[in-house]
Amino acid sequence: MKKNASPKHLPFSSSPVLSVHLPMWRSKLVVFLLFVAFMALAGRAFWIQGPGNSFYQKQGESRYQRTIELPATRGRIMDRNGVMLATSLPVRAIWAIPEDVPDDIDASKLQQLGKLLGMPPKDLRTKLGEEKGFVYIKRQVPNDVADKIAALDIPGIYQRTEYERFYPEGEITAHLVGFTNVEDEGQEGIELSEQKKLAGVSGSRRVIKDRMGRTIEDVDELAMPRNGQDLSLSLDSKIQYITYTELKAAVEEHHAAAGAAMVIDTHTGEVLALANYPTYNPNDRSHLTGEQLRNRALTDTFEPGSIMKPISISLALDLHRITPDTLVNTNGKFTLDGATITDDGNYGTLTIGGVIQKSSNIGTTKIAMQLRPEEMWNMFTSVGFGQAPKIGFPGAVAGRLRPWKDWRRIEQATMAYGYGISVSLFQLAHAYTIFAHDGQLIPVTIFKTNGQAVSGPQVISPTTAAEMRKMLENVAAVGGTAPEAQVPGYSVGGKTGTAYKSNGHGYDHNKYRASFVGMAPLSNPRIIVAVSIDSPTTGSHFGGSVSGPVFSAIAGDTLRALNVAPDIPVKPMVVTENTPSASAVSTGVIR
Amino acid sequence: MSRLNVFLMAVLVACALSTVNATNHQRELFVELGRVQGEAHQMAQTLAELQYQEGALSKTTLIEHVAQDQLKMQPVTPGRTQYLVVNVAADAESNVAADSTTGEAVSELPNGVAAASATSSATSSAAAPASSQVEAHGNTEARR
Repeated sequence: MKKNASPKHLPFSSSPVLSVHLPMWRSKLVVFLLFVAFMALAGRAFWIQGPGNSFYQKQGESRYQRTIELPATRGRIMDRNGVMLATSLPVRAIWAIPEDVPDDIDASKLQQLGKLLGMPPKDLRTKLGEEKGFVYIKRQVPNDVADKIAALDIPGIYQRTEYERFYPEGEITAHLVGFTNVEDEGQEGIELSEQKKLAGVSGSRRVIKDRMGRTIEDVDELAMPRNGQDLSLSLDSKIQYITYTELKAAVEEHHAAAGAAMVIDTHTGEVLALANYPTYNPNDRSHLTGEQLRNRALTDTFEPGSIMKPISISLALDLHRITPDTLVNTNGKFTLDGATITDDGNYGTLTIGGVIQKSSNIGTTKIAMQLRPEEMWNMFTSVGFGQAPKIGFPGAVAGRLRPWKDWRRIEQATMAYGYGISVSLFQLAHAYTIFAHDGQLIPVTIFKTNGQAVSGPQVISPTTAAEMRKMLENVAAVGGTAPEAQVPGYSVGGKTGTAYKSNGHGYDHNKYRASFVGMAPLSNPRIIVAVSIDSPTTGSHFGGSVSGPVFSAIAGDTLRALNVAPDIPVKPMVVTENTPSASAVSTGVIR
Repeated sequence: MSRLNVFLMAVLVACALSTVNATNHQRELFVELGRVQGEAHQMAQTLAELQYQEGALSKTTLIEHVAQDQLKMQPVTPGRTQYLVVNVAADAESNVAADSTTGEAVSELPNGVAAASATSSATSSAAAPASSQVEAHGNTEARR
């Protein structure tokens, strides 16, 4: 076979194509380019692993790290003996992502959900039809109901733990304790004024979760939740109950518009009780009215009437313009600058004690005329009138005390017996501490103290205070304006106030405010009780008849609750077995 | 040299396995800690609920209602002394009658009160002489 010489038959190694010599720089260039590419990859890898990894770190963390909120509970409010007045309990908020709730959801499940939440199915469908990423269906749902809702297993419906505030004492302590809103923020009373202390600060922890959803590691430092501070009020829930029930009974008995009462411990300045009526149940605030919400003892001012007389007269005693034995003629009518001042009766010539006992306007006017307006203004200011009490309570009012330079003589006279000046019941009770505490105006608080006796600025001398206590005792004696205020076993003293109410155009002679402020036992005063009934319409309208018995009941029960020994003998009383009730038997004391 | 390498390799593997085991153990303990802390939190919430219930049950309003309406107690009146006439014969008869209807009598009284009342009644009737007078200070009234 003849060899073919065509290039087809040339050996591969001798192919002329291969014999072409490429320039060396090309291969070097390729090697260099490959080197550069690998270096770029290495550099990128280094960047991703090192300084430039924050983005990837975040992406990674978002897939396995979780931030868990650690809720803090709101502080509790307790009375002076640790009885709970307000506490927070865990409940659930039911929320939904409407677009996650399937349109073809089982109607029976939706009906059950509506039934459990107390919502009509129509409202429920409206909420679930909202074009929002998040919607609350209902908040503050009890845990047992929430568990039943969870058991329905409706897609797109979720739950979150939150807290609801509960008030075990209900309407009895409502005005002082106040309440919170659904966000656990104080709205009224102590809940509002002490919001910063009571509110907790939520904490958080960043954790790593495994595929089972279990927390397996803490990542960052734990931010511990800080629970709200517990508060102890000066209130005694037993005394508060006594005060509230007696006040409520009096308001209902006299068909009055409203009433307020309070008890102050004269040793420590603590408010042991502060009640108002009408009131409201803080656990159910669906139908609240402004009338129910008002803490009348602190936010309502009124013209106190005769309760002012001891304050005016004690100034005259203290300045030695009069003595207890000074005689004052109160016969007939007294005309001052064209205005006629009258008494309820013709009392003749009275001692200073008699002026207080009979509550003589004429006598008080004649005494006040021996005082300069500036002196009276200073006295009223010294006992706290015209200034809001500094007790850290929202809405505590200052009342009205006009500058003395503007006073006319008749105004000075009427102010001496409690017209032309307005004060709150709290201010009145506070002012009377000068008589109970040997002339000192002691600071009053609504928070529990260490129980130590307190002292305050000396407003009148101890002698004047003692003289005034004797005079106040006569008010509650037979012949005084408030014998109904007597308490079996304890010596008591106080002053009645029956003031006409102002209607904006003058005084309405058919509307009164019947008040009584007193203290007991007079041998060593331990409590001050102040009662004010607004517009009594049934029976008597006098302070002694309307508020006196309330004072008597509150003071008697409070002193026994405080274990204060009786300081006067009790008239023994014997009853037979068949006597149905002690209240039906005469106790030897005019009630 | 190769023996040393094998030994070091074995040590390295052992260390690695030990690290895995320790990490796993640590995570298990952490999960357990979380569970126990959750239980503690739950118990704290239960305590708060029970304290609330205790507060609600010890409300002065409730106590007074039980004292006045169920136990027929009366407010104390200072200085009031009540004399009770106790007739042993009549008491014995009434006790016999009461014994025969214990079930009904107990059912009318609140829990925990029935036994105490029955005891005090029996004691007072046994201790008192026939037609004697029992002095009860304050409003302490021996119920017959």
